[in-house]
Amino acid sequence: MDTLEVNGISKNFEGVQALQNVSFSIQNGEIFGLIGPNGSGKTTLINVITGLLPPTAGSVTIAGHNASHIPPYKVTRLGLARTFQSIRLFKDLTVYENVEVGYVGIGGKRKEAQQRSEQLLSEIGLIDLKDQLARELNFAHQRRLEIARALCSKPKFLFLDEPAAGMNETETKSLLEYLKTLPATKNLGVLVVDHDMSLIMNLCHRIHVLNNGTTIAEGSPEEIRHNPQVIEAYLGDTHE
Amino acid sequence: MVKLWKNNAVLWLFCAGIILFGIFTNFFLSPLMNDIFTNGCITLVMVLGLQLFMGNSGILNWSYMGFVAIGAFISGICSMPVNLKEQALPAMYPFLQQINLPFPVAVLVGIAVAVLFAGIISWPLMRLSDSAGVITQFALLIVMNVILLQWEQVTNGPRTFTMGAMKTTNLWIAMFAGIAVLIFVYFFRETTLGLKLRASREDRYATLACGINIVAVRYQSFLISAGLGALSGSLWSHYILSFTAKTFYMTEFFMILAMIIIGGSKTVTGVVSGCIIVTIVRKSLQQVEIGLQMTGMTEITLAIVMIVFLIWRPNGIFGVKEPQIFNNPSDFKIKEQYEKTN
Amino acid sequence: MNFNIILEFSINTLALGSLYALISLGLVFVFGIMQLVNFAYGEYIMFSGYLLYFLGVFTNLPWFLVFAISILGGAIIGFLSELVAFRPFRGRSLEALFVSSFAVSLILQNTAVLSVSPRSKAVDLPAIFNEAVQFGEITIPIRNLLTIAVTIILLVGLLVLMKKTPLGIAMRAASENFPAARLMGVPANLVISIAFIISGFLAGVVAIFWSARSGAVEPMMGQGPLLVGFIAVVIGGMYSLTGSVLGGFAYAVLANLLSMFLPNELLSFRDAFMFVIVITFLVIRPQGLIKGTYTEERVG
Repeated sequence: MDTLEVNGISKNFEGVQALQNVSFSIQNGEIFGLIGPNGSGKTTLINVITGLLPPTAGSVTIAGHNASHIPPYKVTRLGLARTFQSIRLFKDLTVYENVEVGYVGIGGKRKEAQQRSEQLLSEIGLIDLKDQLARELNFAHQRRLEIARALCSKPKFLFLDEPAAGMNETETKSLLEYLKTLPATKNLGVLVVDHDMSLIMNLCHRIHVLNNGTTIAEGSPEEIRHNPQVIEAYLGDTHE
Repeated sequence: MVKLWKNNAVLWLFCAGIILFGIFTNFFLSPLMNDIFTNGCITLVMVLGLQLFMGNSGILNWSYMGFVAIGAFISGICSMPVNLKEQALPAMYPFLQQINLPFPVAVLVGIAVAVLFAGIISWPLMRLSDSAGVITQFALLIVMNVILLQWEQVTNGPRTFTMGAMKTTNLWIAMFAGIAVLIFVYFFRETTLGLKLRASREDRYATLACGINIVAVRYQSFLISAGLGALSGSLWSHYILSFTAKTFYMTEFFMILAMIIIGGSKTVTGVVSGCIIVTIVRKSLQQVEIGLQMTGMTEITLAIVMIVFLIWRPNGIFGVKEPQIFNNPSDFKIKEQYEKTN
Repeated sequence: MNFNIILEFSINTLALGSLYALISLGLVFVFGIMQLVNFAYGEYIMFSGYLLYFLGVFTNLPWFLVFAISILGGAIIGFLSELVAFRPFRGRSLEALFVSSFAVSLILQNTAVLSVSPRSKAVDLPAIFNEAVQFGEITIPIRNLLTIAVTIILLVGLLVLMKKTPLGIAMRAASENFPAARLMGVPANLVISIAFIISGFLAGVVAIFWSARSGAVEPMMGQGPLLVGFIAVVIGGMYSLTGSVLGGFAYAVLANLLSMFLPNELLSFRDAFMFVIVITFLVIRPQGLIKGTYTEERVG
């Protein structure tokens, strides 16, 4: 059983304590939510776990292998793929090529990448657009493309940073349905960061709550929903 | 197999065009046209080498001309007859004077030295992006230029390096090299290395997130680019037969940069078109310059055109995808389906 | 060692360092705000130099007017070049800006070749620039003293501008974090134009002292100072004004020491050594000696 473990991660930016002693673990097969008010350190935490920032203290292991203090591309090769809050696609590459890079990047051969790309694009509903440039896609399709690219690397864990941001109700619902199928069909664990409370509550098996860089709660959606500290942290910041 | 022909129809068209024009020029056109065509093919190799790295990585490698120079000098040193070197280049190290290799081997040695030098020096440079990257590349060019300009015992210093009177590079060699490199650089885009490099141009962080070691990818591509540059330098030195380190410096770099900008840096067809256009413009303007006694007009015109293109058509004439003849997704069909699913 | 020789060496190096400091300041003003390495900067110097040549040789204007007009010319060409060749690229890729600045540089160089001559022309400067003054046993060229004096005045002036005036504060904000500064109401166009005007102004001053050293102007004369500026900015710190000044002085000291101590055969490679140092800095300590306050984009 693959586990991603975050142990006591702290991150200090020249005097600003962005993260303090955050710990949790994600299992293969579950959808794990990471929430918190704006500025609570969610994106910083993701950047630390994925290797873009070194932690000031603490460690990360992916399926038993050490994943801290190594360059981001090595973290990906250990089996962790991600999407970005601000959508980072390869704008002047085609939709098809974007997904291919997901596989080629971890050392795969082009031929296999092409097959996987076809398959994933069909699954996610973008196959008809495969020769379009990524920049020509609409917003919702771009977010789907980013997910397809991340999935192409056959990851053990998938991190989604605000995957539904900017989508309308129908698009969000459709994405939600698709994401629910991922842990089983793709044999992975998912971490989702989002501000959309109904999405998180609906999607996740467990939720971890950050505030000001520290953990204030962890538990099932029901538990979190009724947790007084969580409610207080969100006072003035509710999205329900 | 048919797919290979259909998908890349424009490439084969260009190749056929170049070959046909080359044959025509050789048998029916004036020596001047032959000279322009041969020069054009050598320049094509040069600009393609630059595009391979710069076009796909988005990094302006100023230092490229330095490797062209290395190829030019080293291959020249290796292929020149011993007694010619002793007469015309007396300051040269004796062990270099004694070398005498056949032309193809000399070219290979030139490439090898350039790639070796690039290999030793460029790894730390590949981690730098943006301004730091540009300045470093520029600094590297200066270093190479100063060394070549001052190292008397190898390059005859600031004095002219003469290679005798016989041009080894002829129209056929230049044309063959041009076609071969064109095909190579075109398909490089589609290799795993090429794809990774192109991704790194689009978004560095996403590229890292996809598991790509950008430094390693850039490094390998840089070496290939340096090798191609050295190849073009070798062809060129064996054509113009007398030059100095200054020949492979800013002015020439500007010319090939103009080709890339005007044609489009992201596609090979763009670069080839840019090469053709700029060569034509350059040769015509040079005639005007001589006639009107207005030196510098060519550079000014091309510089202005370059700025205009950068502002209004930053991806050049051909944009970001190699143009297709046979496989254009039917735009109307796509649009229809697109609107339906939204 | 002879105390007098050391004193002479020090003062002359100080003068050279002052000149180099001015050069690098001119580059850093633009770089700090736009991350643009302005290749055309050398040509601002050349342009002022040619104005100096024309006014000095072909008119009878008093010297202070000649200098004033040349310096003003530098400021104007800086301003115009930004308007025409850099503003259209606002928000675009850095490569486009670099290529554009390179193109501008070539246009200006070749315009000089075309409209004047590819050959160098001797400048006419007030006699005082060629005289020297005796202090006991040491001889110091007056222009060196002038360079030091002018540099001190300009540095103080710029310091006051940047620290005390609203404009200066706005410029510093813009160089630390351009988008944030804009959001807070800093007028982008104004700040950038002023940066180029100051850059051109400094180029004008540099032109006077640079051509005083060589006695002539020629179309490629901007290349030398440009390279100096690159080196100084990189060593001293690309994102800090004090850093660039420091870099200028450091370069002057380094260059003069190398000139003194390099064996004869290697002397002609001095420039290569300097640039290898540049490369080393960029690789090991890209922020230079003095770390600035530029914040890189946040990844998200």
